[in-house]
Amino acid sequence: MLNQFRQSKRKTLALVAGAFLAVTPLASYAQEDVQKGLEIATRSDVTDNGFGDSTATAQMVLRNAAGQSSSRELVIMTLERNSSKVGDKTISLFSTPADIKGTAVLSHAKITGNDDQWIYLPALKRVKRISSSNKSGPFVGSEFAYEDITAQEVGKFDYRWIKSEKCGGATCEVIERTPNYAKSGYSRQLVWISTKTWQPEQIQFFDRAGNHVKTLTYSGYKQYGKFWRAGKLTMVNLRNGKSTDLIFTDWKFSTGLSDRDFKSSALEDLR
Amino acid sequence: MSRLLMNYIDFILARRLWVIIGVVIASFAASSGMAYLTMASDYRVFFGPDNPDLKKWDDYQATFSKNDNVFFVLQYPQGEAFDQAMAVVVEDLTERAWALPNATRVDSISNFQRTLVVDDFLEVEDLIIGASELSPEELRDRSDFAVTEPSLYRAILSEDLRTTGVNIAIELQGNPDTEGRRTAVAAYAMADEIRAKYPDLKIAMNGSMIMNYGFVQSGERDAMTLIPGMYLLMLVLTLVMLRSFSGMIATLITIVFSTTVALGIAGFLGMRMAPIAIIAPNIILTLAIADCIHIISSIQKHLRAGMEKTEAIKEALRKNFTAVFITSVTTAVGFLTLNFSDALPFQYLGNITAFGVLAAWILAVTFVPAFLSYMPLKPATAPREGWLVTFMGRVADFTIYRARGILVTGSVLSVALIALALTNTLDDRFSRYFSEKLQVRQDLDFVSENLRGQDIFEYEIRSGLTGGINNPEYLKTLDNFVTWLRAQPEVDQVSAFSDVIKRLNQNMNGDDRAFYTIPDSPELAAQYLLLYELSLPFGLDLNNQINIDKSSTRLSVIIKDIKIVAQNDFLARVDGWAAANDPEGLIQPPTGISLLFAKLTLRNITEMITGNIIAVVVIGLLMMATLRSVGIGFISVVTNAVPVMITFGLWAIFVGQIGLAAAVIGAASLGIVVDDSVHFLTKYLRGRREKNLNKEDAIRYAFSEVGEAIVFTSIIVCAGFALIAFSTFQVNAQLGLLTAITVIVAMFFDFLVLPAILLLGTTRTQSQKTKGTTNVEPIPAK
Repeated sequence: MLNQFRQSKRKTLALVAGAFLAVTPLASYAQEDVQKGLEIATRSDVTDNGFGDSTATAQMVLRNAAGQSSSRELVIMTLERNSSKVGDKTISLFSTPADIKGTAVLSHAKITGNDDQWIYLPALKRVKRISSSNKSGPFVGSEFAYEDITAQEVGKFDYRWIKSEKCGGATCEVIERTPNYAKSGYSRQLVWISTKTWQPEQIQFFDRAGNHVKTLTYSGYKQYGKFWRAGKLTMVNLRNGKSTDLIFTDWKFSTGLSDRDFKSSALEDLR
Repeated sequence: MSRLLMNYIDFILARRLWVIIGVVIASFAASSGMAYLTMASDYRVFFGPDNPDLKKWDDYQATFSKNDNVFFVLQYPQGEAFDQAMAVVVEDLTERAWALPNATRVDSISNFQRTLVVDDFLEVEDLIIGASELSPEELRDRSDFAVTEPSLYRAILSEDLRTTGVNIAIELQGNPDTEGRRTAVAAYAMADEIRAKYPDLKIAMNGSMIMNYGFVQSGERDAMTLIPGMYLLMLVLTLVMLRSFSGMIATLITIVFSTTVALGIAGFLGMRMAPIAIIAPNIILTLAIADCIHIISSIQKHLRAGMEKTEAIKEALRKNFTAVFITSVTTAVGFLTLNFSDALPFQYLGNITAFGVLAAWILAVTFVPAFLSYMPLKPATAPREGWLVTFMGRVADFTIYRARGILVTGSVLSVALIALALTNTLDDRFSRYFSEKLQVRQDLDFVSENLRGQDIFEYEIRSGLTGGINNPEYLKTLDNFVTWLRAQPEVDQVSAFSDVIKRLNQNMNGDDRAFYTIPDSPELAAQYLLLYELSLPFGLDLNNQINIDKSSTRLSVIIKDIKIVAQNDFLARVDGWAAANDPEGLIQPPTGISLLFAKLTLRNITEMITGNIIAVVVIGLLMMATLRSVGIGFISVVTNAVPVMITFGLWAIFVGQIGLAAAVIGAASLGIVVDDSVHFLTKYLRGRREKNLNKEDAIRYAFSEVGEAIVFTSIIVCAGFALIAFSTFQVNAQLGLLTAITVIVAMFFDFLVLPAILLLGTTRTQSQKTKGTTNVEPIPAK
């Protein structure tokens, strides 16, 4: 109860702050850059619309500055939702290491509010609902924050176009985005979006003190029907030299997943 | 040799204007390198790249996380940490702290991640949110919780609940010196803002970033007090001893140039100013003053004897050239051997001082004579004949008459004091490096008294298996270790992964305290851990406690403020416990900053053994060559090495605890104290060889020729080093004080023991025969 009150208060604050910020860019940034930034982000988002559902196998490789590494594997299932007010539903099902095999995390993403999350622990044979007021936290000890890997819906950020430049064999639009999420670990991000695929090629993350702390690089893009998917995401932490690779294989689309599969009660039956 | 020397001296005076111009240009050119000097402000500078302790600590930090931090410690004159007033401050500071440069993580009683359980719903959230709107009961509830939480209680919340801390983990990006300083300056500014906003609040600053900045503060303060103090001392000494304005100016220019040239060369060579190295200018000043006073007072003596000025300068230069050269070289050799230490500050101190001493020598035999030839110079005023000369004569007679007694007493005393030297205990605590005059030390003491100790031992508990930290056996051993550690009287706080997993087990079982235990299966522990990792916010992850493949966890033990001896005793007990209760060998040897420093002195002493031997051998060979006598060269080394050891004995009696300075004091002071013997023995041998005097008369001759000068040099050098004893950095202060004492002890040795040894082998009758016969003191020069 207290919590809800607090959150609503925060939202009000965010609204006020948002309104204020919406005015200030007029003074400092050209309105057309803000407009262009939003257009690029929207275009990027739209190219991905209509995939319905997908599954993929992800291998997560963690590396530290000393060169040691460890890996785990999980299957990620996604169900697209067409409303712009809510994000997609996802399930992450861990298959290795053995001691967490069968552990599944279900998220119902919201745009700026807290996601609903459930976790199924096979050792306990129970589903627990968990609070996820902490999107800024790392995803299972990796260099990816939870907020880095959830769906990047347009409404989560404010945008500003910075420049166009060559990236690899294509041209990229570079946009700056500022999180609307009060508890975000970042002050801003710079995103390179390829004009060929309209998918991100690189994202630079800036912490709350304004330092460039992490860089995420997308590589190995492949087209599945009309949808582009990166084969590998590499997040490098510039501060501590640690990095995490997310390597995707087995992309499948329209596999027939439905809302029923993305209910907390369904987690137990996943294998 | 002497022909060459005479030609050189003629040249210097004939081309005096060019000499002055050349010296000034060269000095300015060399000094320009000072622009490249930066101040090292990182505790790591004390440890060479190959230092195995540092390597171990770096590996540890690579496995878990870097350990640099800024620690704000807060206390109100009244009230507790969970009173609303303080809770508001902590919440405010916690939020602001994220904006500190290079901050990666903030930990406080407000953002501690507490897990709340309602049926099958788990919520992980900040312990304090919106402190200003919490009721006293709600705050009481959080306070009661905090006391049960091992990672808060006695770590960032004091035992009496009065004091609390906000810890900010720092990972420096870019140049560690400049970034570290930027972080510390920003932290101090943040503390000032908080103080302004919350009057009456006490904030003590702590953490490795603040300690590093302490080096800068200490260096700046020393530079502001010691260097001006040194100049003042120079002014007084030159005016009293030379009574000459010209002499003072010549000395002033010499000491300024020799310091700036030394620092300039250091800058060109890419050296940095570092703690300890910061006293190099003081040492250079001291030794350069001694050089100048030697030469100038000699010129004045010859003026008094009726010589024309240019002739007096030439004669003084001729007589002192070798002695000043040798004393400079021996000093430089002594200091250069500091390169055997792997602590960069010692290397820098050694090299910069060596450059400076050699620069001072060059200036003393080029610039000083050339410059003085232009300046009006008064002859030495007469009254020096007075008591000191008479006294020297008395000392000479006493020494000669009581030679055997002196030898016996001297040997017994020496042996006793050297034996005592070994009773000094090493007590190197990082926290003790700073004088109580400095804010950083006052803050450290405040934290020790009000919150917890500063020394942290870091253990890695290694399972050797991927995911092995979830095994119940591993966790049980860890938990037993933690329980045992918490029962030890030296321990303030222990943080370990077993506490996290036990709390999770309790949370997952309806928050039933009965489940505050290690989970039964590895799967359960692994899945709890995964769940927990999913729920932590930015910067509060477990990466600083668990390694990458979940095979090791970190265990940190904060101990009370106790001496190194007591720390070692504790560490030995830990080893004993581990041997008996950890058959798998999970517990790895400890590391951490405290241990690095605890081993630093011993490591440097070991490294400097070679350095000391080389210093003794090279200085000994130099003496033998200069004096053209193997036996007397040998004696001179012994009579100078012994005073150094005696000083340690005196230190044991009056102080007892010794720090890092102990490692280098031998090599550094040997080169300095040997100078007096050079002067004494040169004159003694001249008496024996050129004037065919017997031993006793040669000793009397040496006393009359240089006794006074030795007293003066000893006073100058002793005063210079005694001034360094006022440094705000303990190592500098001890170095200064130890050298000052050594200089005085060495003077007594030169006046008493050295002559007695020289007389060894002379029979009593011979010595009695000459007693009292030659009281015509100054034997006229040929």
